[in-house]
Amino acid sequence: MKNHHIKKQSNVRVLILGGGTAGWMAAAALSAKLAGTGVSIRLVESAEIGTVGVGEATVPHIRHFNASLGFDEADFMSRTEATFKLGIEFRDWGRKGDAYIHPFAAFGREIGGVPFHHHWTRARRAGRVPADGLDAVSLPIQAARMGRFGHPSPDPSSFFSTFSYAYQFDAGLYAGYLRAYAEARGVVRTEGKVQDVSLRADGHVEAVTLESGERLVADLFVDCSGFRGLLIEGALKTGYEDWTRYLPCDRAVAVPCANDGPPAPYTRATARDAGWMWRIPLQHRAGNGHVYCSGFMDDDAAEQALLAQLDHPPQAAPRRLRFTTGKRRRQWVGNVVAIGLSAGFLEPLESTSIHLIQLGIGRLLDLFPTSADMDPLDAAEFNRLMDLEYERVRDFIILHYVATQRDDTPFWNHCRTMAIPDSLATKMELFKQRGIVTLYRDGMFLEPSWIAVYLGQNILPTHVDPRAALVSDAEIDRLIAMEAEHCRRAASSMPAHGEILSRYKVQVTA
Amino acid sequence: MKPLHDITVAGAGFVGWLAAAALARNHAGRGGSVTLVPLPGLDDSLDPFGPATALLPGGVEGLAALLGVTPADILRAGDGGFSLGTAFQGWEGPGSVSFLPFGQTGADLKGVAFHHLVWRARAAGASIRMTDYSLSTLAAQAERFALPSPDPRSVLSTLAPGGFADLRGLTALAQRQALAAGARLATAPLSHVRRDAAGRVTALVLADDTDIPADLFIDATGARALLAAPGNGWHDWRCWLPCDQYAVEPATADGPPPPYALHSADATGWTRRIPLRTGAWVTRLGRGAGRFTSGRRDLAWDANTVLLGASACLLDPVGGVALSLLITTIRHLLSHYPVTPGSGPEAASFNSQVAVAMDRARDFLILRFKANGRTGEAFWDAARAMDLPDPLAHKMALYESRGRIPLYDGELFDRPDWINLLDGAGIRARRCDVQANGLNDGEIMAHLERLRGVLLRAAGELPPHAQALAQLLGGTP
Ligand SMILES: Cc1cc2nc3c(=O)[nH]c(=O)nc-3n(C[C@H](O)[C@H](O)[C@H](O)COP(=O)(O)OP(=O)(O)OC[C@H]3O[C@@H](n4cnc5c(N)ncnc54)[C@H](O)[C@@H]3O)c2cc1C
Repeated sequence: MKNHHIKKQSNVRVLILGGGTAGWMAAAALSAKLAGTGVSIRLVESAEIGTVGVGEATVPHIRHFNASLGFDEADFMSRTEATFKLGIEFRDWGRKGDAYIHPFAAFGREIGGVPFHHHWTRARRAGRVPADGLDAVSLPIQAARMGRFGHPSPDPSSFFSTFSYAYQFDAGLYAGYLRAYAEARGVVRTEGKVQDVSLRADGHVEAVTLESGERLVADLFVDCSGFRGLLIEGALKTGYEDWTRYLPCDRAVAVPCANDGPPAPYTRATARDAGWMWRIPLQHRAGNGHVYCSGFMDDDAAEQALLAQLDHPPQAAPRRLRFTTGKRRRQWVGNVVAIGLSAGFLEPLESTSIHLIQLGIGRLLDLFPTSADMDPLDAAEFNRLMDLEYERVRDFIILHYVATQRDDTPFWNHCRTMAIPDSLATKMELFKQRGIVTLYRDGMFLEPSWIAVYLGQNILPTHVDPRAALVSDAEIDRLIAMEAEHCRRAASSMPAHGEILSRYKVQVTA
Repeated sequence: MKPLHDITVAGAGFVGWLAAAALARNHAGRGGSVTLVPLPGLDDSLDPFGPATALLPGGVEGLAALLGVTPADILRAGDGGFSLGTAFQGWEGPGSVSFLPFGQTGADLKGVAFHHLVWRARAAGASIRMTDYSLSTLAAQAERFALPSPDPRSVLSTLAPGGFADLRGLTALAQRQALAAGARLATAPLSHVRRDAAGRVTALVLADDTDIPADLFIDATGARALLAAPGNGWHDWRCWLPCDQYAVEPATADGPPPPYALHSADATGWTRRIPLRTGAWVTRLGRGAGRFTSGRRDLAWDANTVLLGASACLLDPVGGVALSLLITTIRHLLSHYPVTPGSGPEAASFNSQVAVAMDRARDFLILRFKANGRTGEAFWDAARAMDLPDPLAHKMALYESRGRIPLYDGELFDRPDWINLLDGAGIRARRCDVQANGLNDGEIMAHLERLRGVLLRAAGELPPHAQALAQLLGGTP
């Protein structure tokens, strides 16, 4: 073999427009994965415009993102004031007074070849387990309720390997953390406001011009400019699929306050008269917000309602946000790829936005242009995959609204009775009648998540797998009790959440 | 809650007994009945291509679980050995040989997929066969075998064996299990099917004039599909899968069974040889006589009738998918078992999952014909020139463009299977993954050399297939 190694250079020039969570996640991942390929990356952001910056709760996939960039967990958590997240507690969703946790884990184990929830449904129908009895058979729910946390075991035979976890972090600090990482890997940052976008004859974006007059040319533009979608919509007029008819909330107001005691290892989402409120505990504060439907509540009332239930006085002026739920018709058009809020928005009920950013970045890397000439097939595949993902996440979020028995406000009457997509109606019918969860390849929410929400919101299947009846009631009761005892004991053996966090702090400062 | 208890299965061949065993084991324990009604004639309930069949990875275990026996019982009853893949002779042109292995091929390097590494190495002048980096291929060449390791760090975890079986032996085993679980065989063969005005099956009428009604009917009558409603049509796939004629004959074993099937192409078709422990079966496929029609039934579950085996889907045997599809279908039937009469949401869900699995399996077989390298022969020239169905066309286009295989819901085959098939057929991508550009040729070559070393060493340490089989099954090799 010859001694000199010829490196293939692709020389694609990338311009990332926007320095919010999406922009800096993209910059960090692209700079790491495309190191040495000849691809150059520039990021433009405008301090004057600022970022949305409220995305604070995540799903477990973020750990793979961090790990693939080589982040050390203790360092990352300590610099972003992060806490561990075992799930989301949903209060008052099925009925007022209900509370369930959607954990990152399955409930129980198969018995006699039949999924656990079929047996549980039978026991529940016969009144042998209480309505909130599912909590008892979930290790992460038990841990969350006790305010404890422990890392899952990598050994698949260990009971501690049966759950996963995510983080709650300060989005602004996370963006800064990513920025330092990306700049160290050659990403060039330009502060400035884009004022003009010029197109080539073939309709692709050629360059953006800043207020300063500086003109930035690139081959590939990653539009992370937030809701405005400066390139994908502003310049390319791609169009937006409006999903407000399924998810009517269109406003939010957010405000931080101090934590009430040690931070909880889970996010809380409480249903309210015309929407819902979140509480996301970080190390140094809690993020709070109220997502609501402007058709049923005005902005002042929404803000008042939020402030009225804070654990502590607000630490900043409330921020008001407007949004339209939906998705860009195509997220990759020509040489523009939209990632983040420019690509679409689904309300933060299941903390999905950052995950959708991560997916967009991963697929952009899988389909990264090999030269300045774009192959439309790359865009077609990207759009096919992202469409599937957005639609499946959308259906899962709608489920929370439509699987309700609440009839105490006009908003809930509307949600309970609204028309839903056929894709969701079919799934719900199958579960209601037979306890079967529809499975698919692409789609972030798997069977356990659907089960958590269905059962948590009192959708108890009418019929279950007939094979469940082959195991005696006494045996099922014994196994459920045993599983609950395992979960209780395992959760009790975990350290307090606050204790792990302070151990991490010490580790980093030492 | 009372599940539908009375099941009547039309056809007491392999598919009928397998379905009866699986259903009786799962449902009849509570007083329900499973009755099989035999049909005269040869058993072509799975397919008409002879008594021997292939199982894809997971198939032996899947079958064992449905029947409540061990995987060794399956091989014992089926006179079968393990399979590490398929040898293709003559498909890339007369005299060509390639091997399509099961399990993993190669290993990624710094997030760059293995096939991109191989393409880079070739661009740098190396002459490399992708499948030489699969332990299954190396083991198959040397007729060696071991069961896969559950430890992901072991190179043996890259194995994913399938197997072979004589369906007559499996039928006897399934029958034993079905009868033990309470299934019954009707005393007289089927005379005809009784239907109501809407075309719904109401009973099977036996030759002795007895009526056998049921809550649920299973059609295991093969391609004749005697229970299918007239309106439940057949999607004809001959435009993509060109063979429609077959001939079957037994062959004698030359030595212990090799752990692979041999598919040999010739000017006008191809020939399958499936090795068994005490012999082999040879099936020749071609075009002309119209003895079978590749395709699938519109609805596998229609009202009170579920069609299984060739009555629901019949494919050219080139992919060896028939039995694996049947296992998947029966599993779906068990998990979607009806609890109310007629077809509720279970049937719709079952139908869409089953249909998509069949359609995606079909795509893989289509590609085997499309990606042939035999020029100047009408049969093969036509196959190369055919238009592909949409999802496959997109898959092929994306692969040819940049070496990426999109996977859809319900895929039976994984990325390496598609890539090995296409790369083995000499079809390469126009572009290479940009992330591979971050690696220099030296790194890539070193990675490939190291891999090859590990694989060769591992293959050399495996026992002969015959010995591994004997150890597993007991008795002499
Ligand atoms: C109420 C609410 C709650 C949320 N909660 C969560 C959550 O819990 N979990 C979660 O995962 N996600 C959540 N999200 C979503 C999350 O906030 C976003 O996905 C995330 O912040 C990414 O935003 P972005 O980077 O796409 O856009 P932005 O944060 O809006 O950033 C846009 C960037 O573009 C730049 N820019 C725009 N125009 C110009 C211009 N003309 N010139 C130069 N620069 C420009 C801006 O300066 C900024 O840097 C929430 C969203 C909302 C609205």
